[in-house]
Amino acid sequence: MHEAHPASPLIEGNKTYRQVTDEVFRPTESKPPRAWFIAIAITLSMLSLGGWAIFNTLTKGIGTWGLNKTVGWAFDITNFVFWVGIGHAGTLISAILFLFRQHWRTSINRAAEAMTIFAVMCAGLFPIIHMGRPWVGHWALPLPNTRGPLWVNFRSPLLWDVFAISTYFIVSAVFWYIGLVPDLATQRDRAPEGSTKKRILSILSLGWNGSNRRWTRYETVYGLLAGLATPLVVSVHTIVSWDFATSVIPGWHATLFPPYFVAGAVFSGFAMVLSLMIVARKVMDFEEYITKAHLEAMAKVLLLTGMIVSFAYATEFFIAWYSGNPYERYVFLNRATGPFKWAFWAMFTCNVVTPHFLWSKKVRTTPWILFILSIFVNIGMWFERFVIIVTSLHRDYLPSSWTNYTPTFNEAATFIGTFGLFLTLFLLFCRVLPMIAASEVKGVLKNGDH
Amino acid sequence: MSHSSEAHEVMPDLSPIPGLRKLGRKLQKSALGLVALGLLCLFLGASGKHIWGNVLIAGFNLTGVGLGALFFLAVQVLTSARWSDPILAPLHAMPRVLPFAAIVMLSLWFGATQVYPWAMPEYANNHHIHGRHAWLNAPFFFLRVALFFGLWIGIGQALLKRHKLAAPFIAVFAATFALASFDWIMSVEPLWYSTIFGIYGFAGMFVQGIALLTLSAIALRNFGLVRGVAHARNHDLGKLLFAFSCFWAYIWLSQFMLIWYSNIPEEIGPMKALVFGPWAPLFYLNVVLNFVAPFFLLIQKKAKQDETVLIWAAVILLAGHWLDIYLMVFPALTKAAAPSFGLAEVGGILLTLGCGHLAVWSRLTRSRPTTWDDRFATGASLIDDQHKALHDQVTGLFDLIEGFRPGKEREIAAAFKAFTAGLKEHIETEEATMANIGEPLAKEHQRAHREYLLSLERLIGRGDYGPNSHEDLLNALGEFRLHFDTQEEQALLDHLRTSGHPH
Repeated sequence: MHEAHPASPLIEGNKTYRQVTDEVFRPTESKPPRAWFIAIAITLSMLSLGGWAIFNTLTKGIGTWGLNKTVGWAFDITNFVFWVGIGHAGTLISAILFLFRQHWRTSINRAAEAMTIFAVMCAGLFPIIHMGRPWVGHWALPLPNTRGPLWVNFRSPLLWDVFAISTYFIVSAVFWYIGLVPDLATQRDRAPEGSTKKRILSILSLGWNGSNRRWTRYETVYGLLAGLATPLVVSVHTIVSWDFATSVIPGWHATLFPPYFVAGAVFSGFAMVLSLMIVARKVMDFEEYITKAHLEAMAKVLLLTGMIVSFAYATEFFIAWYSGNPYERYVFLNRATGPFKWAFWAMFTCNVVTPHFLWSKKVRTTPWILFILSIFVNIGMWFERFVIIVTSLHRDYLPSSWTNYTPTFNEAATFIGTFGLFLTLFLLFCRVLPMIAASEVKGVLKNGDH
Repeated sequence: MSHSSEAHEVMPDLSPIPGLRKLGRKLQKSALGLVALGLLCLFLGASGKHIWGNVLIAGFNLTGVGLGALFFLAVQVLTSARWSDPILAPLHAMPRVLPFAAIVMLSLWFGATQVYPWAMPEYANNHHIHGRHAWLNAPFFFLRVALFFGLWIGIGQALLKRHKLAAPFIAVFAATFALASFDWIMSVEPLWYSTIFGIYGFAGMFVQGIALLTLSAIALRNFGLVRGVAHARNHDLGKLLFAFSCFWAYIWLSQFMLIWYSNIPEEIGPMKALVFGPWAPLFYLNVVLNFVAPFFLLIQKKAKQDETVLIWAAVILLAGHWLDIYLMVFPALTKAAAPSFGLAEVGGILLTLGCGHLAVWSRLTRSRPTTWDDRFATGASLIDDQHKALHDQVTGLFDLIEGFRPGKEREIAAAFKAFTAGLKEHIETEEATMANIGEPLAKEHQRAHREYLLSLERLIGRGDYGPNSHEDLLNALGEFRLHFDTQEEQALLDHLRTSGHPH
């Protein structure tokens, strides 16, 4: 990870505290540039397309999707798992790296946590629209009701998902907000006297005054939340993996799934953080805050988690062969050589081959190459879920029910729509709140004016 | 690999530590005794299955000790970790156990038909097992055992010298250790399979490694063999024990819960005997020892810093790990007959302890002090050169004394006098430098310098450089490294680094 070497400060440019405050809060206090408006116009169009697709789904029904009797889960659940996974990097950076005292996290944790929250919002959308009747979505909660014996199934991992993801969303949002409070106070203090902005920020910053006592309590709460978020983030993708692994479907039922899904989630999440941060540091002029050393550290995490994912693929194939179970063997053979082999090999190339470019320090510190690699990983991790879900379902025990699956335009549009939602929220976040945790960055300044 | 880890290619190593060598030689003898006693007990075991089953457990656990240490070291290198520097000495010794583990595992050749159904003649025509003969057959199996140990010992040895191998080591380790877990342990029940089994093996093995590291660090400090180890190391080790005990529980749950939930006959079969049969108490005890007890013992911050609690937690976890492996092997071997704890089990445990001790002490009694490391540099060239020269002299002296032959006394005497003179000059330079920049050394620090010089001169005064004084000479040389590692000396170096470089 980062070098604890006296010669390599985490923040470049020999900044003073004042400079940090000015530079970090500048985007929240100035008019957005034209590029920002163009970007948000694009993402809003994507969002509108998704809105149309969801409207279509809700008014016409799930028939607008390409699902059939054999393949009952496909694009929707793939997208769901994809987005939940993206969220994991945020919690890893904010909580787990905090517990491991990895101080380089301070430049990226705020944005990564925001990304977590937006990604979980995108993820949550899919199970809800998949219900077909989202207006009875609250039936997924164990609420007292007048429906007699109609009650949630506590033995179903799908219900555990409801609990896991909603808890994850709440804790992530609280963690993010608590971390924001000192910066919100700075933002409040800098806002013009009497402005609406100041009034709103006064409420949000909870009367923060930077006193010693506030800081002590803040740090206690932050540490506790980090400790709480750590098992939580592991549990979320574990339970998502149980959606599949508790079944008796070859290709789904594997005891390896929980840690394998968690590692995959961190892999995809870090790829997304890299993609976003490489662009953001450039256009927002944060290259001295999110330095090449930060990119390199993230690239190393990507390499490690990519290899864990490759290890999981290899284990699955080996045990399928070792088991001697004809169904297990067939599923994996079918993945690599069947009608969806293109998806399998796309996944293999993106997830197994691409990370190995990261052995080179040159690659790890060249932003544009990293950007391309991170996009490949994003694509690969989407395909991973698609491969697991669709190839395991489309040819089951009964050859008479074998079939294929083709996504409809409506499904693709919904997926594009979630990207629209995700990126729109991120663009708004960049201009409204300090994207970098100024108060935390000040704590790791080596050459500040103290 | 990051820049700073390349800067110090050599792992810091606190041995030889004054007194450690003498103790080590004594313990080496007792370790041999343990091995002999262990073998004796094993062969008095109730049956071939009991004997070889316990040999397998001993082999797997010993392998885990060596690999756990190497994995820990590799992680320290990759994360540029510094907190663990003072406790790395035992980790350097632990991989020495791998050749012993290889012998134990390869000796299973003679007992394979007792342990592995796929090697038993009565199963030769069983068609379920037959499908696996391509992988599970004795020649290929033991070829893999030999290959794995070749890789582990080869790359492990190289890793101790060259940090660049840390990342490749982890990749090789992941692949080979998973296969070893499948081969050695999972195939005791050849029809049962679980994709997580490699990670499950790793989780237990790594907890075992951290528990051993914790016990060694505490022992080294309490015997006065390591100085300058901050109290915070306890807390860090406590946190690691806590975290990886939880990790073990997570992996245990992932495996057990998914098999229980899906209830597929071929998977649940062996589990049923464990959960509902006469093994049930041990099944629950396993979770208590490996997770519940350490969790509640260690959850408080105070507990993680308390040596007594740490020792208890580590011992419980070590016992738990043994039981965990035992439960993976014996219910399958004895076809779910009630567990019986006999001489063979005692023998297996004694053999593990004996081989472990033998390996560790063979390293700690023979190793040399650390050579110069670039991270000691202050930037003040005169002081750096002197430090470097002194390190080289100490290493040279160690070589001389280790390879002592009659007639070498004069050479040792000359080298020892040169070292003392160099040290005297250096201490004067250091004190003068500090006085020059207006920050004279603390009185105690100066006194420590003087006292050390005096003790060296006293040794010179004795004029005996033969075998009788070697222990004293080596101890005196070890003191140099100990002083160099003390907080005062490191603080001084830090100070020189930051306060400009008087050339």
